[in-house]
Formats: sequence, C-alpha cells, structure tokens
Amino acid sequence: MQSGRRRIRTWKRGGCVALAAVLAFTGLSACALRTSESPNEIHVLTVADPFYYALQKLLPQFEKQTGIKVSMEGLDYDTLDSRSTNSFLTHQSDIDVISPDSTWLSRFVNSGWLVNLDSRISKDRKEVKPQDFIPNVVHSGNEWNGGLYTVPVAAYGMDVLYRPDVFKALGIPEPPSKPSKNWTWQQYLSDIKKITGKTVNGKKMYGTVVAGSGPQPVIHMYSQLAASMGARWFRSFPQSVPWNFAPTLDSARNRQALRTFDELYKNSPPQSINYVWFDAGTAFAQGNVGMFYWWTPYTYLVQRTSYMGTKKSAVVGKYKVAPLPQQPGVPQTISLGNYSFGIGKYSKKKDEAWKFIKWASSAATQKKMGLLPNHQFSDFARKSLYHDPDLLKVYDYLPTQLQSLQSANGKLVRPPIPNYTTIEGDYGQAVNQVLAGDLSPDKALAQVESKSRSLLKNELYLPWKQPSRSDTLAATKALLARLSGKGSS
Amino acid sequence: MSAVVTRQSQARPTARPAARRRRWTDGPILWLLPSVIVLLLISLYPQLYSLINSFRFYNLSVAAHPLGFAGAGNYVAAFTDTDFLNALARTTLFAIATTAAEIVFGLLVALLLREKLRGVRLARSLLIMPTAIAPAIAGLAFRSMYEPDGGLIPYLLQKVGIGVPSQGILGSRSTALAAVGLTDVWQWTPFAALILLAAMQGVSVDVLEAGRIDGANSWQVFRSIVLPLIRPVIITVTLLRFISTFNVFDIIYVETRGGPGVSTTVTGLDVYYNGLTYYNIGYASALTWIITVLVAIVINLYLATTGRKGR
Repeated sequence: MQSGRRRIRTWKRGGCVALAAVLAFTGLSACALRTSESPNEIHVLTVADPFYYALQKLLPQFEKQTGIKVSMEGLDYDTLDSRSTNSFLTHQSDIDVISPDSTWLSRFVNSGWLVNLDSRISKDRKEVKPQDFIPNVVHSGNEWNGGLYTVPVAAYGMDVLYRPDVFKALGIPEPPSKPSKNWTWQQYLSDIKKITGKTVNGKKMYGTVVAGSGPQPVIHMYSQLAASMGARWFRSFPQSVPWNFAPTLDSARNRQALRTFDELYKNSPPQSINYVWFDAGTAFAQGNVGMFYWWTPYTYLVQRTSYMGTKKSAVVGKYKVAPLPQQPGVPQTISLGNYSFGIGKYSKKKDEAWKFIKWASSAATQKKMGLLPNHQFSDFARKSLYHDPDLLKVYDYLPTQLQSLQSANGKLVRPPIPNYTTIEGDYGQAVNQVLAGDLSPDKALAQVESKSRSLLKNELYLPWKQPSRSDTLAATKALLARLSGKGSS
Repeated sequence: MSAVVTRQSQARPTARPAARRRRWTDGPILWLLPSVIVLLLISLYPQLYSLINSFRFYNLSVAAHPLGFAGAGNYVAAFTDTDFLNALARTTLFAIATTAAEIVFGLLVALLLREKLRGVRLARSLLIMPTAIAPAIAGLAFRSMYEPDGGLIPYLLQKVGIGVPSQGILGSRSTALAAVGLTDVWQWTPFAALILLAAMQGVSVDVLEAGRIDGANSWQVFRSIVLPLIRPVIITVTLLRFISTFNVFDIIYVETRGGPGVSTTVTGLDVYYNGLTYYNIGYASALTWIITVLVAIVINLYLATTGRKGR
C-alpha cells in the first residue's frame, strides 16, 4: 500500500518534470520560430535620441510601402555600445541595422562589423543622392579608411542658446546672429559673469550651465571649448600623415581652455557637476539660465519641460540661437556628431536593411520627421532640407544650424581613434575632478597626458607602425562626388 | 560484537522483504544532474574563461580578438593603478559602513516588529517593498529626492537646520558617498530586519521565560539570550550584505556615475568602465579576479574570527 503511494508520488514528480521540460522546449521552439515566422522582419538597434522617436512614428508607412516589418529598439548610449559590441563579438545575426556613434565607427570598421556601403550607394545614387548630404557630416561620422559604412539620419553641431530678455534687462549686448571675430569666448565669459546672481523677472539667474558629469557628457561639452581655443588631442591625426598619436593634451591652449571651463562651471548651478545629457537642457528650460552652448538638438529640446515630453517649458518664445564664440587668432573648429545607420556584418537580411536605410535617410522621410506635430526633430544631414520653406517655418534657426554644421569637423574635436572611449574616459574624469576642486587644471591635464601616453604605448599606438591615411574633408567630398557618379573613380 | 552482527543480518530479510541493492539512479543524483550541468555551464565556464582572459592582452580597441599571452601584466597594471587602488579602498569603506548600518538598523526594526503593536502586520508587508524594487529604480528615486531645487531630502534637512552643500548632496565630495550609501541602507535594511525577525521568532519562549524567572531584565534577555541564539543568522546576513555592497554598481551608476570627481567610483564601476566602455577585456577580467579573491579572503577571515568556519 505504502509502496503504491510512493510510486504514485514518483509518477507525479516525474510528470511535473516532464511538463516543465515540455514547456521549456515549447518556449525555445517559439524563440526559434520567431525569425522563421517573419522572414521580412529586420531588427534595428539605435540610440533613443529624438530621431528615434520621430522615425518610430513613421515606421508603419515604410512597412506598408515595402512589406518589410521593422523592429526598432532605442537604447541609451552606453547600452547601445555594449549590446552591439557583444552581439558582433559573438557573431549574432540579431542586428540588421545599427547606428554606431561617430567615435565608435573606426573600431566597428576595423573589427569588420559593418558592411561597406560604397557599392550600394553608387548603384542607388539617384535614390540616395549622396551629394545632398553635408560633406562635413559624412566626413565626421560616416567615412573611415576611405569608404562609407553608414548613412546619416541625424546630424548634431554646436550652437549657443541665450535669453534676449535677460540680456536686455541687464543691459548686455546680445550675441551676433552670424559668426563674428568679435564674438569671443572672453566675451561669452564676461556676459555670463554679468548674469550670475542677478534677479530677472523674479528669478535668480545663473550665467550658464554645464553638463559636468564625467567621463561623459562633460567631455563632449569641454572638447568643443578646447578645440575652439586651438587644443588638439594628438600630434598628428587624422589629417596629416604619417599619423603620430603622441598626446598633446597638456598644452598651453588646453590649459587655458580648462581654466575657462572651470570659470563656466563657477557661473553654473553648482549641482551641474553631476548633470548628464538632458539635465543642462532642463536647467535652461526652467528659465533661470542666461546662456549656454550645447549640441544642436537642444535648440528644440529646451521647448519641453522633460526629454521628448509634451508640456511646454518656460522658455518657449524667449530664447534665441547664436553661433559659437571664437578664440582670437585661432581658426574656428566646431564639434560634429551624428547618428547614422549601417548594416551589421552578420545580418541575414542585408537587402531589406539597405531598403530601410535608404528610406530613413531620404529627404522625404526626414522632412516628415521634422513636421510631426510635436516638432522635436530638426537634425537634418541633407543640405536641401535647410532651405525647405515648410521646415523653416517651424524651425527658424535652421540657417544658423547649417552654418555650424558646414564649418564643423568632428574628427578634429573628438578624434575617432579606435580607443577613443578609453582616452575620453580618463580625460572626462579629470575635467570633472577640476570642477569638483580635486585637481587644478594644470595638474589634471599633466595627469591625463601621462596616462594617455602610457595607454597609447600599451595599446600599440605609440609608436604607430600601421599605415596612415590623410583623412580630410576634401577626400570625403571627392568620395561623395565619386559615389554620385560625378568624380573620377 | 559478532553475535550482534549475526542477529541483525538474520533479522533483515524478514523485516524488509522487498529491499534490494540501491542503485545510484535511485537517489537524488539523477534529478540534480541537469541543474549541476547547467550550473557548470553558466557559472564555471565563464569564470574559467575570464580567468584565462585575465592573462591575455585582449582589448577590443586594438583588435576584435585576443592578441596573445600577457603573463601577469594585467595584474601588475591593476596593482600599480592608483585609480583602482583608491576605488578598492572606497569600496571597502562603503561595504563596511553600509553593511554595519543595515545590520544595526535591521536589528532595531526587527525588535520593533516583534512587539505586538497595532499595524505591525501591515508594517511587515510594507517593509518588504524596498527590497523588491530594482536598485536602479531606487537610485533614480533617491536622485530626485536629493535634487537641490525642491528635492525632499535637502528640504527636510534645511527644515531641521542642517545645511546642504550648494552643489547638492550628490554634487559634493563630502556627502556623495554617504548619500548613495543611504540609498543602499534604505533598500536593504528591511531584508536584514525580516531575516532577523524570523530568527528572533525562532527563539524558544521557554528559554526567554527561564531568563526572566532568573531575574534578567529585557536588555539582559536580549543581550545574553536572544543575541547569542540568533548569532549564526546575523553572521549569514552580514556576509550576504557585505558581498552585495562590495559589488555595488546600479545605484552609483544612476545617482552619480562615480562623481563628483572620483569620490563615488567603486570597483564595480571601475570594472564596468574598463570592460564595457573601454573594452579592455583582459584588464577588466584581472580586476574582477582580484575583487573575487579579496572578497573571499575577507569572508574567510570574518568566518574565522566569528568562530563559524568549518561548522
């Protein structure tokens, strides 16, 4: 009797295990079937920047036109980097379309993770219209080793946002609307010092705001100021050959730039030492910051109280856009970053992926993205869109933005050496330590230079024994002409 | 002796007629085997792989594959890296302080919950909630509560006359580490409290009564009877929390990303940056192994000094 009960219990247990196994097998089968069930589905991995939200809304149109289903994931910056790297390293085919940051491009290309798009662009030149792209954008973020690996869908320059009402109330002359040699960083600093601590319309003002969190985004903001003041990262990269990666971070120009940046922080909300990407924009949107410079998407993002939100901020209709200040005697260098789509090496749907890229980067789609009701996208990489009357009606600052992009060179401001992120890490942390008062600007830069030198030696960049290539804007222009069928092959 | 053996062997066939020789498949081994295999695959293999990587020059910024044997190079680099050594000291301080706070507060909360007070059942249910929240979410909540403009914590501190740094609690080097520590203490004190409460409830009422009959007051009963009896549980909770706080990452990444400066950069963040941002896989693997060995040493020292090892 007792052994009979035991047998029943054993059968019950066995049944439970078998059921669990069946369920697990069913689950695995479902996963395996996922791809075979939708042969036309492509997976797009990108960053959750404004272009992602706009594109997401238009996806049904693409799906209707082509019958290709798009599953697009918007991630944060760090997650996009680590997830795509892990996926490519393990040879997964789950990424059909990827949008690497411009500073990751060299690493992705050198590792062989992206498909060269030259032949596809050349073949579909009438559709792609390569010469409509702003060459500076393509040079900064899409070209590496003389080939195009991605196509831009969002281009970011840098400009200044300021409050004319505050300037007027305090009797400070407004910044110019066009680049001017009289509009200098010294003037910028002097203006914000006049604003800090004053009360305007019942609000206690800060002259400016920095995005101070290290290693990013502080280095994105600081490197603009440093480049504008003539500082460079390496002795010779990427324009002049042979490449020489000896660091030049501890230079007189960079020390002056870091002292100036420290001054900017002293005229910012003190908590901005921990500000990440949108925090600086939010601070300006609250109405108690007189002027700041940042990536161009903030020109429209500050119109909302929260990132991609719908509630209008306190500064709508109260701010203007100005070009970046300059350093006397130094040619202006403006930062340029972009997000672009490329095809993953291990994708099994490269043709479908290419169709999607063409559609997403086309002038027609980009215009639709800009005219969506929320009006939260104006990061156009195509010249033609900056002259579009419908878009100009919504985004009246487009001429200033175009000027910024056409005189920008992202490869000089944040040089895309494959181990850029590592150097950026130490550099950004040192800048943050200066703001925190842990290090003096001079000591911080001496420390970063020494660390970078030993890192570059360890990682075989010093001395550089590989081939060098003169990576210039002129070369990119020639490449675009060739792909358009207008230049020599 | 031989008589006893003979008697037993003679009696066995009549007492258990159906008995047969046990095969290895009769025991739990067969049922445990799948779990053991899975554990070996998902736990041991990655650990061994990371150990191998720690001796390689493997940096994705240079090449997408390992470039060769680096000997102890990564370990030497770690022990000469002042950033890592400072992060290690900071992490140790953070782990000891937060673990101690969680155990002490957990014990106090457990004592309170043991009392037959009105609403104590509801309090117990609510208490588990912070533990159920993802640490990143807790970090976000505290980040907003620490906001210098309108955040709850600076507001309350100012109301009771405590000054707040102008750059904010998370923006000041002197308060940032303590502030992220507070988030951890808030989230994990209930865990300690509930485990310790369960242990206290397991102490026999008879033993407590005996103590009282012998004239011990409440403090003496707690100190001399309850505390020694729940000591093994306290040691276990301390170990669990120490390991967890030593590996803290989420709340710091969300609240300060290691800043201001490097004042909240802990080893977890250092490993993350080296491995998943700078892609120096070899070096990050070496850091991981150094941390693992150090934690193991600390745990064994703790067990040895608390007299629990080998029991």
